Amino acid sequence: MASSTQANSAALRAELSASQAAEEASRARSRRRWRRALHSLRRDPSAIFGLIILSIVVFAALFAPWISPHDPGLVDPLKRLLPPFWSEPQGSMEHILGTDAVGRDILSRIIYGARISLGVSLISVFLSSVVGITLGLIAGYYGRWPDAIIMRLVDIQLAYPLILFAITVAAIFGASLRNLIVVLVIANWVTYTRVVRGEVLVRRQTQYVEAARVNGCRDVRIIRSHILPNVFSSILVIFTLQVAFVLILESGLSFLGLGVEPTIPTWGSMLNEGRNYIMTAWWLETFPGLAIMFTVLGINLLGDWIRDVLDPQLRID
Amino acid sequence: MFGKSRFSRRDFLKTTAALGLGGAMSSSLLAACAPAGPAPAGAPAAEGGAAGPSGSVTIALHFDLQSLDPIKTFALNNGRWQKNVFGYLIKRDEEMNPVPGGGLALSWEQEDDLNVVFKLREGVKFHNGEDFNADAVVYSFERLLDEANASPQRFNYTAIDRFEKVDDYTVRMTLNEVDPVIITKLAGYGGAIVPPQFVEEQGADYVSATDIPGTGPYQIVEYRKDDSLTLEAFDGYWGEAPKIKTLVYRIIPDEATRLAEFLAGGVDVVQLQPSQVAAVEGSEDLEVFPTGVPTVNGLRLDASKPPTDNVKVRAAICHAIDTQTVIDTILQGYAVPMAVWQSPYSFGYDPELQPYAYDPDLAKQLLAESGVADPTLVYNVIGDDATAKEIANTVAAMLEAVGFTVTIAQKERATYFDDYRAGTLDNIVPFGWGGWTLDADNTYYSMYYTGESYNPGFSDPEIDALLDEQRSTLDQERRKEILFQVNKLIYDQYPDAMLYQAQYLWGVNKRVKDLALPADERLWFASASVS
Amino acid sequence: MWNYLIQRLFYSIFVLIGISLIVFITVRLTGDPVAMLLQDGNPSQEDLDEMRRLLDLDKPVPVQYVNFLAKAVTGDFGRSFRYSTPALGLVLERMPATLKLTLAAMSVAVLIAFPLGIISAVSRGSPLDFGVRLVSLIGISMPNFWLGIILIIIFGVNLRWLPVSGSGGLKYLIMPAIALGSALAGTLTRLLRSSMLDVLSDDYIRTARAKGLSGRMVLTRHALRNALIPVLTILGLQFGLLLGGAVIIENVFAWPGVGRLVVTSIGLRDYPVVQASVILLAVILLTVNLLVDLLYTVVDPRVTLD
Repeated sequence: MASSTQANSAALRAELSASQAAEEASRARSRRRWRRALHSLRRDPSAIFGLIILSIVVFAALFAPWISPHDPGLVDPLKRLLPPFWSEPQGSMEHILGTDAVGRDILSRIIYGARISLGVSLISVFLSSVVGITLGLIAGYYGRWPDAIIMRLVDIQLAYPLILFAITVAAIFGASLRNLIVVLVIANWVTYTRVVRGEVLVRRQTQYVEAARVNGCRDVRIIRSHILPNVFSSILVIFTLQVAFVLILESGLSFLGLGVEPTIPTWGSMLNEGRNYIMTAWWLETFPGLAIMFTVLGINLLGDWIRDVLDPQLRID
Repeated sequence: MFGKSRFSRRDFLKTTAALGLGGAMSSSLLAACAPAGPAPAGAPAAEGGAAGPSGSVTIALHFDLQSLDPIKTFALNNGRWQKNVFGYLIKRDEEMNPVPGGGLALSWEQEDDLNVVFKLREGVKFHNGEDFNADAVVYSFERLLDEANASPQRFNYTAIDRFEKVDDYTVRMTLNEVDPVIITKLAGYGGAIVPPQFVEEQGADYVSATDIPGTGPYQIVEYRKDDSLTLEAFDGYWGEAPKIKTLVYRIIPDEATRLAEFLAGGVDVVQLQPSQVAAVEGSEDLEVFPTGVPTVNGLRLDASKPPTDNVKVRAAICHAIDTQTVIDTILQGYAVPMAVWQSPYSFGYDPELQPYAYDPDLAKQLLAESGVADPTLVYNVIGDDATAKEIANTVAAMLEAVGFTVTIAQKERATYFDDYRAGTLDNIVPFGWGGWTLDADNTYYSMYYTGESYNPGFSDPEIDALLDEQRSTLDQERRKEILFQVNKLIYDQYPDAMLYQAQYLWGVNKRVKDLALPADERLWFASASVS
Repeated sequence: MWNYLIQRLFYSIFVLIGISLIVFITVRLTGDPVAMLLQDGNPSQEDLDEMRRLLDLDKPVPVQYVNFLAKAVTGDFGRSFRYSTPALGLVLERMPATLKLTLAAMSVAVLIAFPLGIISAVSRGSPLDFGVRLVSLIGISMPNFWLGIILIIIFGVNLRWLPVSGSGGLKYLIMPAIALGSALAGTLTRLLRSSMLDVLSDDYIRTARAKGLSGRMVLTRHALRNALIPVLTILGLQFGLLLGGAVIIENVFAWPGVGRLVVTSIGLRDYPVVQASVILLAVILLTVNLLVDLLYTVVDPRVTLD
């Protein structure tokens, strides 16, 4: 009895080291994949286009105070609704993209808006990924009742119309940047949980995880070194899609009056403020709209490329 | 600004059934502000009575009807259709004076302070064929005053003890206390006369019935919740026959969509925002009619919260705001600055009192004198009110220019009003007050009397005493003196900043002629025509 | 199969209870409806208490919830505070309009996505493919209310081809359906493209081609059929998003659907209507997702449910 257990454990150990070798190999493959990816980027004009757009937006977000021509909050009612510079006779280089209904410089607000809009997206998507991945790991790894509870939470979230939840939250706590992020996190954790749980279920049955387990490796370690790396590519793909989705969702919530404080420039709130002027001062609506559109476009183009690179199954050639 | 965006169901307006103290007002005063009908007295196309009513006019409503039952409504939004369907004992002219014989009462006679006898119009029928008579009047007011019906209009009529039938076409109204404005109140929402048989037959279903008959020139043919209300000319109307056959009231919640519908010709009558007027200018088919209304808007400064509990801080705020610039820019000039919360329509308005002067240096000095170490103000605004947000941003900049720090806190529309009444809003609270009683008492008592529900934090024993005094004073000249005194006392305490009298901007398609646009927002289509 | 259905049903009941609990509690956190209902009457404390009793709001929340649940099971969601009519009736009255809009948006999306996705996959790498990818991304990238307003200005105000807003015949449905469906159209096009490419490279398709089956046969018989699986998944998942988006689109186009009803009801604290709408929407979503799962087995015989 005892000897057979020992033999078993020796076999398991051998298997474990084999699986570790396999892991190593897979990491090496992944490194090669990245190198190949960078190479493929050069041949993919749409990915380059996406990268350029995103670089501009990220640059604007990071260096807003240095590159924006005016204070984005500087109100001057006497300079309201000035058109963009090319529009004679009122337009001037002073306000390149014109001014809004209270005389604030639109270009400056779009530059600062990049900061807020992108920041809100990244923070909320990051937080929801942390929540979602954790719950997905727990559900997939432990199974049984934690799984049952988490998956029912997922079902509840999926069947509860998000907008209605957001309105209720705004009715209870008021509309603000913080509450917006909370709502967005609650809206988006589910996707990660589902994907991560699915991956874990598949991985859990592989022999090296079994082996590691039998060998007494701590759960945290198994998850960190065997499971997480394998779901990383899926998570990255979801992450890019979600950032784009949240940018649009934020504008929708602004439309319903549930956005951020009016002094804070976000593209969504600018787009919403411009609606009343769409017939008389088109630039209020058009520029923030284009900012959202191009950024989402850029993220998606880049996301396509990331998916192609990370998910070889989708590579055809 | 909720006086401007007519959204809230309560429209706080104390619609007070558009009470109106018409008789007490000088009409020359009104002439200056009274709205003019859209068309110059051009001859309406009515010929020889041969042609029946024809054509259709579409009117935009901002939110759904609260109810088809007149005693269940209070928002001004309802006034746009209601008056065309229901009849009232009293009808007011465009200057808000009761017109003898204009409504269902041919005449009335004051027997004493507490008793009024009304002679009723004969031969009037409800849309369902029921006869209008004394029983209908008695029944309608019993129904209004019955607490079980929980009418939001009831409190306007509690001075009425009862209506009694004298004969088929004579009723006596008995009051339990003097109410100087009770006659005009009978022209208000709660005073609509309903058909007793119909209501009784419907029983509990009455509240959801969609074909409630009145005695007005139009009858309801279809109501689709959140979509539309369709009225059709009633051929048995006792007055001059209406010229337009169909009125369609469409509920369009989005401002930009309402404007687009108006520009596209899908809607003929619409209320516009100042920012939208430019889009209509230059159109050959469309016109805009700015109409002075008794609503006054302003910023309430909460006197119970630091730092606005300091009168010098409040004064600094009042002098730091360039109201005229706000009006000229964001409101496109469609407003008039006011000194206190009274419009020229109001009994108790003092034309001598000047709005607080814009003087940033004085504001700085006052702020310094106040000794307040942390001049941080929180300015509330309703999330979906675009104009209010523009004003908030502008005013905040003006306040920061004299040394304040301003945070704008966004609130959800529904909770805003409750928070306001509960006193849990912050330093600067945009507010609008209809003042539809056209009497300073209603506004001042609700907004400044200690502990009243629309008074979150203001308290002054002297003002309380004076307000009590005028309430028991029947002599109108004396009341006016007291109200002028109150004006001055309030003015010196700086409880509100940036007051202005609003103007409604009615957009009307030129194919609609002779539409009455009275100051109480209750559009009247009986005399209008459409080409 | 039956086991699966029974399990799903059991889960659904659990989910509905969870949702009803959440909506029941959150809606009560938004504030007191009684003060709002009586605010214009300067009500006395007795009036408030009486009203609270009438609305069954005088009991502790857990008791209220149990009462609510017991009645809800029989289809009684209480009476609307605002309209005084049964809440469920109000919601059911509006539901067709919302479903009509949502299904129209879905149809628009499918009608656009299928031809574009196929063309794009078949002509992979060509300028046409690039064009389709760009258009589908633009569809995804535009906030729907912005697209809605642009459509209104072009086709409603300037060209006057279509009515600006409101409900009625088919012509009233066109613009809102496009505004609501454009994002889904973009997503579906991209998905179809990639799953078609995926399938086209599979062995059996190559075999089919080698056996001399015509290009069109291969496309419809094999490739398209297999590409349907992810499309179905996305349609099921996106249905909830469409219902959410409908809230905004209904406001823009003055479309009298459930979305607007529930938004105003939250504002007015009309608890019964909010509860009935959320629960009914959840029932619809759960049903749609179950149908999607069942459809898998029809579309792809390899899928079994258990």
